[in-house]
Amino acid sequence: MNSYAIGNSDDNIRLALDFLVKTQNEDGGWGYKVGGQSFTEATAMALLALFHPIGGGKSNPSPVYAESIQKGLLRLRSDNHSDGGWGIFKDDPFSSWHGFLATWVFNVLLKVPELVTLYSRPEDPDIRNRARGWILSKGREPRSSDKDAVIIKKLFSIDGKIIGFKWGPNSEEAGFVMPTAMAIIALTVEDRLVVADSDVVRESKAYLRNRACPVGGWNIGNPFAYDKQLPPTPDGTSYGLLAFAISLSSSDFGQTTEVLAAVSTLADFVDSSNSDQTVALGTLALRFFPDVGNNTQDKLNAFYNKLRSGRATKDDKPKTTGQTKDGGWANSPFATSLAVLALSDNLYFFDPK
Amino acid sequence: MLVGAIGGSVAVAEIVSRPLGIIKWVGLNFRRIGKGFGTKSQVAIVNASYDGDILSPLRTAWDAVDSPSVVGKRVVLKPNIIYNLPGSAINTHPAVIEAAIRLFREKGAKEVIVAEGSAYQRDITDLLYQSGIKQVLNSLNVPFVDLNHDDLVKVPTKGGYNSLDFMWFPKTIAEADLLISMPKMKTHHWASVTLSMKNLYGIVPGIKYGWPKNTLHVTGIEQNITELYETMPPQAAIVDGIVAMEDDGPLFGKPKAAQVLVVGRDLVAVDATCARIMGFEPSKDTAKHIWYAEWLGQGNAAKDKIDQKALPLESVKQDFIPAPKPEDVARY
Repeated sequence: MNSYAIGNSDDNIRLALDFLVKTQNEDGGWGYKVGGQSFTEATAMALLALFHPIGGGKSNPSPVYAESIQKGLLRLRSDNHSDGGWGIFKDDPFSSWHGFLATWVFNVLLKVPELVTLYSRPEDPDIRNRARGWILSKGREPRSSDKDAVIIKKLFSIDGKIIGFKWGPNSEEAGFVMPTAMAIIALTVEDRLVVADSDVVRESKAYLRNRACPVGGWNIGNPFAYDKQLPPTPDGTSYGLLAFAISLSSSDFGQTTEVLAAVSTLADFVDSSNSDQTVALGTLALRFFPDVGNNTQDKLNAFYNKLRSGRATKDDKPKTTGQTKDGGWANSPFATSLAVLALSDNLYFFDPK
Repeated sequence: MLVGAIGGSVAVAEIVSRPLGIIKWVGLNFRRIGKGFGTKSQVAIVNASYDGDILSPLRTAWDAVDSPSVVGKRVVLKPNIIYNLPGSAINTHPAVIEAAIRLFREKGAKEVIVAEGSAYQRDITDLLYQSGIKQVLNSLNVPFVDLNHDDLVKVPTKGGYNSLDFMWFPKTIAEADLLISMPKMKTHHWASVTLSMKNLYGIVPGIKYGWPKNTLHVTGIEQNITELYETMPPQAAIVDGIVAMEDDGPLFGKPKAAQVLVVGRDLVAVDATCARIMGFEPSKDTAKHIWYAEWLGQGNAAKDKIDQKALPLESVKQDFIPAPKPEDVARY
């Protein structure tokens, strides 16, 4: 798996992990802001960050990290529904897209030997298998009829016969780019070489290609509204690229136009962004496409500088805040978790061994 | 024969009430009858320009209608912030938001917050900067709440129009003393117009309902608009119609200088007035959610039930080009 990281980020990562430990809620979860309600997605991302070898992911971790991970995993295990999925938090009885991120966590947990030894429980393989089952049976959108596909084509210039994954539990809902990308990641991490070429992942990638914006990148999944182009967004583009980063295989040979265009688009977004979260998520995605298009190593270094300090070069005025004294980004456990993954030169979260 | 007539009436009532259920339909009719004898809804129309003083005309409009007191209250302003396309009239203008912040502080609000749950992207930060809204918030020291990622509160639905027993609302909205819907005046290819009621879609959190809030479309646009209106805290509306949007709204339409702000506490009446300013008459075929809301007894849409303040409607009426309808596009 091709990847780049700027290096010399151990101190940044350590401070960030300490921030995550400090901002963990009493119920074991994490929120989108410090002191906010725990959500499944934010909890999953915090755990992925804390799995880092600098944190809880080595053979003799500090008890502080180990305890935080144990509490977080207990939260996820407790919130797992009988249908295999997860709601947005413990009081949500309906399984939905947050389960994609929780599944990702269990796949990493069950593959990295240190994590298996320290944190896994006998029921975890069953949790992961049922989660996979939920994603495949309930997570996908319904396939359009031939008649509806004709109308969808006219209105949105997309192919309604290629299906993706949806946000919510409603069986009639449409698929969208971000949940499709998250589902690809959640499924593929289990066994990259096998799953990347599975029928589901291949169709999901075809879905992403079909929903790509003509100028490059992705938005929610509507490249057109009637005959007008809708612009890409940094989050849609980041998740789309992450999905391809983990699942690129020989079957994608000759079909990389959308990916190449998305890299350029995202680099422009990160360059001009005022958002710590966008810079974190965008850098995380772009690191997997070094030297593609205008995403040179110099540019990536600039993005990493911006991620850490808020400015791309020493002479630039800060556009974002960067890592703050408390070790976090944007006062957000979620944004901080993304930053840790972006900075990490260990790919345990994407290619666990 | 009498028994047959009664049976026939019940049968007709059952058929007509099917979308709601007969008990709710009966209660609804009592509400509508009651409203028929009720007072008119006050809606004010004033002229304004982004280049001039907006606070003064806004204050005039607010004082002209039966506005709620905001003394000591937590007031949440909910503008429309979707995309930044240069030269477009998509978002509520920052100058209007600034004027509203100043107005409510002047009127004694304990706290003024600006909040939005954008339907097309998770992270709204860059959009706030590009639209100029962030700069206004910073200069006035006003917090912004991203409703898509706020803490959530379970709220039982009050109307029962969208088949959901409850919805998850952002805590910021659930705890607001007064919610001000601040839409941009625009045409809309699904709903005909998007005004203060349709603007309420943005309070629904994406973290639960996705981007866009697809489940609301699947379970019915009119049903969800009216349910949100009924279930949420007390509201009022300030519509930014200074530069509005016609034709292919709500994103790709053309800017249309209507030069108005429209203010009121009955959002149905405000939207009906705005639709008429745009040249549309709410009905079962056009701006259906406004007609539906009136049918449900949520407010007044009929002209004779609206007490127009400040400028007369006829003096500001325009002919907006309607948005193409999906069925027209799909036909070709």
